[in-house]
Amino acid sequence: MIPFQLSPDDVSREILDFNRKLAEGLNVLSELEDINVGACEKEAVYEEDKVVLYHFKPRTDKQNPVPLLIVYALVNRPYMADLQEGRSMIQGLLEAGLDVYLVDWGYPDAAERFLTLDDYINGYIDNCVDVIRERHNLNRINLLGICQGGSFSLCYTALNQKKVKNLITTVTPVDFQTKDDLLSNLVRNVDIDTVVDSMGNIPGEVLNWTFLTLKPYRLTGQKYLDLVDILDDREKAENFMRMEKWIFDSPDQAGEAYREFIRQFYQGNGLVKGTVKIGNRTVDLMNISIPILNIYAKDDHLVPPDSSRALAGCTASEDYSELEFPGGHIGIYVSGKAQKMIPPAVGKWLDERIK
Amino acid sequence: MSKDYFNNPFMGSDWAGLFNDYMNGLNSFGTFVPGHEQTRADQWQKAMEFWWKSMQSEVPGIANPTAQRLLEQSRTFYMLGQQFSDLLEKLSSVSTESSEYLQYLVNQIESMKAVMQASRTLGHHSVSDVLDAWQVPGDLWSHYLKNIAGADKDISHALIVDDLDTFMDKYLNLPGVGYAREYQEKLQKNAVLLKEFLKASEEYNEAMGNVGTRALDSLRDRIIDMAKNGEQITSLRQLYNLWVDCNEEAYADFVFSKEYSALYGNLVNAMSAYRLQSNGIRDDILASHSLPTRGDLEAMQKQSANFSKKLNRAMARHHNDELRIEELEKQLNELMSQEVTADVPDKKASGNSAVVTKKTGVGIGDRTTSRDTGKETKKKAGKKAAKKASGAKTGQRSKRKMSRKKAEVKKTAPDTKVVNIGSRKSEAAGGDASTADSGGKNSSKKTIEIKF
Repeated sequence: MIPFQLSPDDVSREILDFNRKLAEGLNVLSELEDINVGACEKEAVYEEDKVVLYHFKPRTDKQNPVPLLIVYALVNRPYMADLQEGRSMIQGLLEAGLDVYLVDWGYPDAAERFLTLDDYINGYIDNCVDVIRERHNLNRINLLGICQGGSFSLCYTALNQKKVKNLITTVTPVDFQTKDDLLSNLVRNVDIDTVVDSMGNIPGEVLNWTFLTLKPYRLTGQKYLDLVDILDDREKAENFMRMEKWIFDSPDQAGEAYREFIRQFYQGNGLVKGTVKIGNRTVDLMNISIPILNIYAKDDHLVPPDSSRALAGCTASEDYSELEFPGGHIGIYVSGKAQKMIPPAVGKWLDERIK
Repeated sequence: MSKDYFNNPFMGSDWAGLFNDYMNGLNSFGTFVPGHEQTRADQWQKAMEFWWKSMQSEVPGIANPTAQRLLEQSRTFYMLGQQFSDLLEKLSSVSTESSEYLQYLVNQIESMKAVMQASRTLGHHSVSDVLDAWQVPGDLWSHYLKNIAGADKDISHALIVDDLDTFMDKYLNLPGVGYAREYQEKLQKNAVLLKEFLKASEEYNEAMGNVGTRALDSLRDRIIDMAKNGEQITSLRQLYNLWVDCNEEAYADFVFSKEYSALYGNLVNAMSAYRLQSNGIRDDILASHSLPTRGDLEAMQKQSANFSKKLNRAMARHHNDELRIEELEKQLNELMSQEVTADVPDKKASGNSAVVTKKTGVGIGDRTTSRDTGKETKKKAGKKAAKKASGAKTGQRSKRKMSRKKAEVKKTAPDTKVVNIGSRKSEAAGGDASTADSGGKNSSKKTIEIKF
């Protein structure tokens, strides 16, 4: 049987309809004003160089007494965790009764060219942790790492466990050489020294390009065709543009930190091998014995589930849990499904571990 | 370009006749001027772009790139429609239950692959841009190259390696001589690196082109499978989505391979090496004009980073010292403010010393002292400065109190010299910080030895 129930006239009509929607959609696009991001009220409580530590205004009368610090990745911007009303992991965490802080790394420039992972992990993160400890008169706080920020959180906890009470990792790469890790395959044969020496800081556009090449036909093509179908709905168009703004809002990467991260984590797979050195200290995940909640996304194309799940067995924690989210790397923070699932689960897990 | 190329059904315009109704609809997009040798898909695309440009200035910046991408992808959609309408037209004369469609499908796919091959053979811009849709990864690379690699334009397509080889062989055989010998050698090395980079870029684009043809094979196979399973394609959009799936599948098959990893590594390394060498040459030129070079800037950046680290370490030490001094002052004040009821023994019997045992209630384990490894920061430094400023008064008050107490002690024990308050708690020694959560008072007994 011929597998086409389609005539040239049908195609003609479909294209005509598509063009009508496209023309209308472009009109809607032309009317869009600047896209705002962020749903939750926050204040800067600490600044150092370009790093800002934000504290979010609580949304419940009573909070978990142990504050939660969110450590975001160096790539892209942290407002993805608080994109808009109803699409905000932070909003959900606040409503789950958590007292939330967030590290914003800012936009590194030439002044940050020689920042190392030691500066980020034992410097900025440690200082932010200390500020929160001091504000709350506590010795230990809760830590939640996002993606690369999760890897940093693991390193930080392994080196400074006395300051961390509970650790949550979300879509965090641990084993950087699983067979379905495309980023790992991309950088495997790259001479990272020459790359960093020739570029200095790594331009954000390099990262944009890298991420687009993970699924080029969907991310540079199909996505925009799908957009035509929703452009008649202004709210949906704004939501699309908000995500688009986030995707292409890529800060440059501090050259030395990038060099260390690619070499030690991706090329050396040092986190699971125990060879990562931050400053002059070696990161041994077996130093971590506090409770860990490891959340990963089933359809993650950036950090494959196996990469995250490798954490099981790498630490000395006797209270290790995993939570699988049925979605992708970004959906875990912004999808409606995620709002109902992730923050309440985190809130409950932390409430059960207050003492 | 061969005549056969234009005779290829993939580039034919028969399909255009099917869309007269649609062309009337173009009025909604404004003025439209058809091209001479363009397909209808090209014409529609251009019409859309023309309309878009006319209103582009009114569009907020955030929407501009998105609209551009939307229009580019629309062109892909038009092209797919054009290609498959051609096929559908042929199939309209075939019985629905016949397998005759198969040959038409195979021919159509083969003709599309032939055009893609021609695109690669003749060079990227030698054929219509409509083929860009099948070369997404390669185009991404070109875009990246223009913006990142330091090339003024997309040199990966502008130069043909074979031609460059001829030029390079002559050039590289010239020996460096005279005063500018070193500079000449640098330029020669730069040319070699450029050549290697262009070669790597060609290899990458070639490999990506193969992905496109493999995707078309996959599309053909999937359509055949659908026919076997009694499934049908009912819209152009469904066909487009299927085509995207096939491309992603073919792409993934390739990019997860060791071959691709090596190809990609070679490309990035070649580009970086060329860029690094070019940086050096630019630095030479800048230095010759007494202008700051990239190397100069990096040296200063590095020095600045080192200073910053030293400063942070010094401030951390300073911070800890301040806390320690503050704590000692506090303890001392508390001790001095307590009524000392020293039972002073007979000087002859005691050897000029007295031991007073007291419950001091001094809270030595203050939590903030645990920041032994902390780095003082600018803001903290600011806070500390303010604290220090206010603390200065406290310090003065303490000094005054101390003077008073010293005077009181002098009355009872005029020869008092030293007050030993014992050892302070150290978290740095490995104590579990959680034990200090309460920040509570340490009520342990302290021995105060007063020497005379």
